[in-house]
Amino acid sequence: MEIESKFGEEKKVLDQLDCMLKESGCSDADGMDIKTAVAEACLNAIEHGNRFSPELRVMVRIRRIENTIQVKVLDHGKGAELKAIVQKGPQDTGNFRGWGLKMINELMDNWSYSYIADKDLFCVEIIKTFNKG
Amino acid sequence: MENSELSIREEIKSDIYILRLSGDVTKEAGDILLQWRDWSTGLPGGLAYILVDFAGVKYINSAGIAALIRLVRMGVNGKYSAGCFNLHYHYEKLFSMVGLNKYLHIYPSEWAAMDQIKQD
Repeated sequence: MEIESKFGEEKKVLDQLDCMLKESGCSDADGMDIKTAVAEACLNAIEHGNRFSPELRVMVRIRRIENTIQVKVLDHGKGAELKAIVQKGPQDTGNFRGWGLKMINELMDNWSYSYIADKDLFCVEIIKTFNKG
Repeated sequence: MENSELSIREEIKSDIYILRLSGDVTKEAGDILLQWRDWSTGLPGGLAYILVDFAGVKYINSAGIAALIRLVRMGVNGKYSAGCFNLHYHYEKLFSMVGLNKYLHIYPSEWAAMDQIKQD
């Protein structure tokens, strides 16, 4: 699916994800973790990747294989060394922003990122195996 | 899950300033919350404690959490302490993850919050 590059659009992704998680019998706790991580990945793509450009869309691909959810969030930015940013932690710049990556890092089993040069897209991929509940 | 603009209802109960939130706590909501009053000058009437009621809140993201951190950190200048109640367990986990629970005490209910603050 695709969403516009403005805050609030991430909730369209959460709606789709919510249906999939409910159908699969995912526990509430794991479902909340997954939705938070996906929302934060979308928010980063909207703000830092596409820089709120009305011409650019954020693309989201959701896959479920048994109890594992894999989500790819793609934007039109060049990306950054996200794991280094997580290690450094949010900087005290006065606005206390920058917690999204930490949440993704702590809530998901695995996550990675890559710049896809031939498509000029930056991709964040997050994976979690959930418990049923 | 539609976007739900934050609405705020304020109340003073037993010398405690209570903010009852309803809607999403996001970047936009954070701006509304931070502009609600000049937090750095303290609470109305010089009250010493603020409680945030999250009963009407279904969605909080990292930008909303950042605004809450700013609000409670301003309590240092404004000379007030902060707590909250009716917070979903998922957000309790997130608040702990980012260290917000060091500045914003999480109570299980309004009654427990009022009772504990009166004893302190």
